[in-house]
Amino acid sequence: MGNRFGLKDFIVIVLLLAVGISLWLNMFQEDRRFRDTRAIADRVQSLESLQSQTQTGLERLQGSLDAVQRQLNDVGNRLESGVKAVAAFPHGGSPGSAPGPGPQSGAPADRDESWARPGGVPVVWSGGFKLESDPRGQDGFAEGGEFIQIFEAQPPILTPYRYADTYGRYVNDEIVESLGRYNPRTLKLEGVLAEAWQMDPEGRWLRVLIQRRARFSDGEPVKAEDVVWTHNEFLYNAEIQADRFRSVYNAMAEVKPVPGFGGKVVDITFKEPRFDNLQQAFGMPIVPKHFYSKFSAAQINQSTGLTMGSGPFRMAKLDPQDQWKPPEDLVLVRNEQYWGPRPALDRVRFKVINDTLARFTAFRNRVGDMARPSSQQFDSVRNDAEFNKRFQPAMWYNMQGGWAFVAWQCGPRNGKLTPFSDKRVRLAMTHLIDRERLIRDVDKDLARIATGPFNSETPQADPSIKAWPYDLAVSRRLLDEAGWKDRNGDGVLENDKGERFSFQLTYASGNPATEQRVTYIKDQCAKVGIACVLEPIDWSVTQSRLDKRDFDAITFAWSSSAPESDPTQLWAISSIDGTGDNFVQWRNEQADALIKEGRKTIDFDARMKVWHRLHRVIHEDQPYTPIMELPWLRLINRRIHNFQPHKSGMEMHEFFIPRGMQASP
Amino acid sequence: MLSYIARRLLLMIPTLIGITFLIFMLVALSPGGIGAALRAAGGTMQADVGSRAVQEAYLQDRYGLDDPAPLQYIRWLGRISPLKFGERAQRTPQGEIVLIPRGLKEPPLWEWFTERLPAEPSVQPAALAAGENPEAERAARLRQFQTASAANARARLRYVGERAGLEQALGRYATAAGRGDLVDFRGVPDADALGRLKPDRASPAWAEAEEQGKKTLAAYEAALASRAALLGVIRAKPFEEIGFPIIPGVLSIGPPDFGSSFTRGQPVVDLITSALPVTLLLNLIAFPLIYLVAIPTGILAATKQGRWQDTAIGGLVVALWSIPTVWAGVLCMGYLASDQYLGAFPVSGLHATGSEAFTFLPSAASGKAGWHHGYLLDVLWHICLPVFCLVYGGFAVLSKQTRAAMLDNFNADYVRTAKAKGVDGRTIVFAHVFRNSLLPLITMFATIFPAMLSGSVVIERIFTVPGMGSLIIDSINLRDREVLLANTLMIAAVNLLALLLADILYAAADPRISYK
Repeated sequence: MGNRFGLKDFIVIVLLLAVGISLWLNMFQEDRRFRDTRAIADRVQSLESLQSQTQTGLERLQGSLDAVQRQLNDVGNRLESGVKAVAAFPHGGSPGSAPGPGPQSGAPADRDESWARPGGVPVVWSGGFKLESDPRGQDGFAEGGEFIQIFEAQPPILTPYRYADTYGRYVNDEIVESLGRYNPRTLKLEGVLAEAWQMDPEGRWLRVLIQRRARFSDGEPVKAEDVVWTHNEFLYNAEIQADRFRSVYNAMAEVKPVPGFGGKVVDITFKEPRFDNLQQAFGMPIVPKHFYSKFSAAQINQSTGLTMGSGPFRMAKLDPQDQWKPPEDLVLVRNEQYWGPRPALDRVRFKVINDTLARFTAFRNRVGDMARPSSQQFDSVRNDAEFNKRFQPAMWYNMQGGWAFVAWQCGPRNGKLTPFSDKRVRLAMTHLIDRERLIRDVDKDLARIATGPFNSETPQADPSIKAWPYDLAVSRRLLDEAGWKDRNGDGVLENDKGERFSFQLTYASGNPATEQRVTYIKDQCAKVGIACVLEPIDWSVTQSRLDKRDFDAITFAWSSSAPESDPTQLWAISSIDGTGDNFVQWRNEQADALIKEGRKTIDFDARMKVWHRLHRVIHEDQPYTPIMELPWLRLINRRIHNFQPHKSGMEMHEFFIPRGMQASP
Repeated sequence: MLSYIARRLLLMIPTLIGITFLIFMLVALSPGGIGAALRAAGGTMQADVGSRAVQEAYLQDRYGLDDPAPLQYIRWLGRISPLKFGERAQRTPQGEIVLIPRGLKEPPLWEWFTERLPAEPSVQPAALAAGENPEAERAARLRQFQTASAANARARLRYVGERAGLEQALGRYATAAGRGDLVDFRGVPDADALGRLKPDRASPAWAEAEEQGKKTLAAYEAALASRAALLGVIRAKPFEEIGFPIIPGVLSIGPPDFGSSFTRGQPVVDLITSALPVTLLLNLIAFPLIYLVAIPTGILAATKQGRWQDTAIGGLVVALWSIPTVWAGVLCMGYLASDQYLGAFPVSGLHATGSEAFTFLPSAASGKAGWHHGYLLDVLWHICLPVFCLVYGGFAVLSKQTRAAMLDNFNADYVRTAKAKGVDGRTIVFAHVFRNSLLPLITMFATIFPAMLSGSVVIERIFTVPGMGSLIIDSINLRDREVLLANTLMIAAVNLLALLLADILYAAADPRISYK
């Protein structure tokens, strides 16, 4: 082999070097261009911000001028009619003194009600949408910075009405506004995009005046036609795959604009007078017609991040050709056009970290500002002084927290009645489970005993109901009364036909806490002579098992997104038929009558009384044994100020980061 | 040789069909079946979903879930087959493929409510919209098609909803008539069995069933009409046709259509093209590393056979091989990535926060921060731990294989001859023995290669790497038919091709093997 270095080798080496160098030069050149583009993008952003501030300033000025004009007119009128002008500002809404950040401190004098339906139905004014806890004026307040939240799983779709998980909803809530929301403190419905409304006292129709200042993040005003289009052409467009939401927002029969009034008034007619009509109409997110009507249904169905609305934040990328796609970080930026109180944060970023340990480590490494810990992780740091210096562990109960339970089959399974068809047996089972101990040992005291199906943070729950105590003696007595006795001395109870008390407890496998819980229940059952057989199943199979009513007892958790839920679905007799969600086949005439009555009761306080009675009926009959209510657990970096645990969840809109801490978590 | 390759390639087609069919049926027959995850989402159930029977009916109609599993499979096969029967598909200017609307299922027990079922109207090619210039004409035709398509979707949705309502009403009727045994758990009666009975018009539930039946029939007729109208527009060929005709109107060649994911909405091809590069990046770094470490250690072990170096290498690689990846990943995370300990590596993902603003190369000059490591180094730094976890377990097999192959050759006659000739040790090891021992290693690579595409679920989960492993596992857990089938097909095809490649390489490397 001739190993001499020849001309050919030289040429090859030179060529290779040339390719390498030109590749490097090309990357270098690309980087120069990239930096230029970034600089331009940054300038555009700052110009946008400046423009909107100028615009907001102008609007505020205009508002003040209008108010002065009105007062002058008022003074003039009074003088004309011979009344002395005493009060300069008749409604106390002095325009100059309001420290509010935006134009929302508008004078109430422009409450023109000419748009209202005649007939004397009172108009409710929202009084402007305000933050519960205004960051402005607090110590160290500054605008700017990026809030980074760590998600546990990747939301695949964020497009409104197409997303399918809680993350999608959470992000959408920041971008797309609805007509109303639940007040974070009182959980009462209040207006957001609805500036004023008239609700038929019988619940058949609703007329809404849309917030006159409201505009979408591209500056276009929010109009009645957007509401109409959202309902008729987006949500109820047969080609758009939004079935999930069509079955949620199904109460509205007709949505149509009222001509005139600047296109700001919309009429909604409901299919039937139901208690939650207003709740539904106010919950429906409103999307801009001019933006979405550009796309075909297939484009919307296949989109991942076409999310636009009038909320405090907007997507950083909203180009249909270059929209957000998983697994990218999702970035929201402040909506500079926002009509309400300007959010303090510049940007919000959502990162996804699947693994629990990785999430916790990343949070401690200050990769993110907020993360959801497991109960064990929360327990390990809540009293750690070192940790608490930099981070805040927060635990609070709110309307979105779920509740875990064991559901007993009150009807037949495969044509044969289970022992739980007897109310005394169900009560015995509840007395058998030491829920306090479960919560202490398994959940590290990070939960509380539930008393029934309604979240106790909400007015729907009856606070006077006390959970059944843990009492083995009572349990034994109840079982004895129901005819379950150990007749042959083998340690297992039998009924008068000699059948052993044995049942399957079904649960979704994979969660260690659930496994500990069911094992505990099995042990407790053994104490009184009941044979409990554990049956783990895959979560995806759960629904079909429920549909077939194919279980003796099953445990999982329900969650809710609203302070008031319709009990029909879970507890009405009609929901026993087919695949309705009364899968325990609980047939209780008294509860059924109460549900029917509650659904018809439009008056809030009267309705709550009905729900409280229903709560008690369910409590006395125990078709489910409520195990516990689950709080929200969050770890928050202390650089995030004004984090407030609300009854509705939390409001990112209220957060701020003091100037010195804005660089990174 | 060529005929052998052609034969193997042709044999691949039935093998692929067999594999995908088997996997599909396994998933379809598993509890919950195809689309199970469409019905249940998340770890807790949302307590406020409405009429599920109707929602279920929509889903079944959209994805054809109410057809038997083999039929669903055959339909999928037809879509991905490059050979297409019938008219060629068309593509809209927006790049969407025009799908022929599926036929409608008849309303159950229609004979109870009407004399004659509305007949399917005959399809006449519609008059296409015209425009002054090609641009306007294209737009007008697109509008015409979209209008027809939207009308059809609306009518179809209504019919599907009404039909589901009728099934429920008939279920209630059957229960009221004392034939609850014919009604299944969804409240839907067995239409054939019920149809053999005489309708009991005096039953209290009859009126409701009859009214619903009439409504369903009206919706059926409207849906048939709108479907015919849409078919008319499609038949008139408003858009460009795709593929090449072989026998016009009968047989053509067209691009395969892998469909869209049930749960993510995106086209399957997009999902794979975003996940595959990530997995390839990890594996294309990991596999050369494995080879670079395993082969020299194997050679060393072989040359020092029986001495302490051999034992040490053997012990070490087997020890590494037996550490579970889950455990190693968690340890790496806890000690190397956590700031409480070393904190030298990032915890998860492939990019640092804000990496979209990084320059690609490291930069020294700009900004107040001075030196910045840039996008490229950022990615390399992020994949250190995942690559480490991928690599350490792979040494054992290759190292041991190399050692065994080397030892085999050391004992061969030609080595003894070379030694006798006085060839020095280095030349014997590298020029003779190593060259001959490489053959099994090359062919081994061909069989390892498919594993590079499928990714590692455990590592991807721990380090939040959005690769193929997670995509495949998710599609199985969520019973996402399209993603599952496309992935199975891809991995099966690559596996078969790699096996073929291995066989060809055998023949090329070893003159004693031929496929005549």
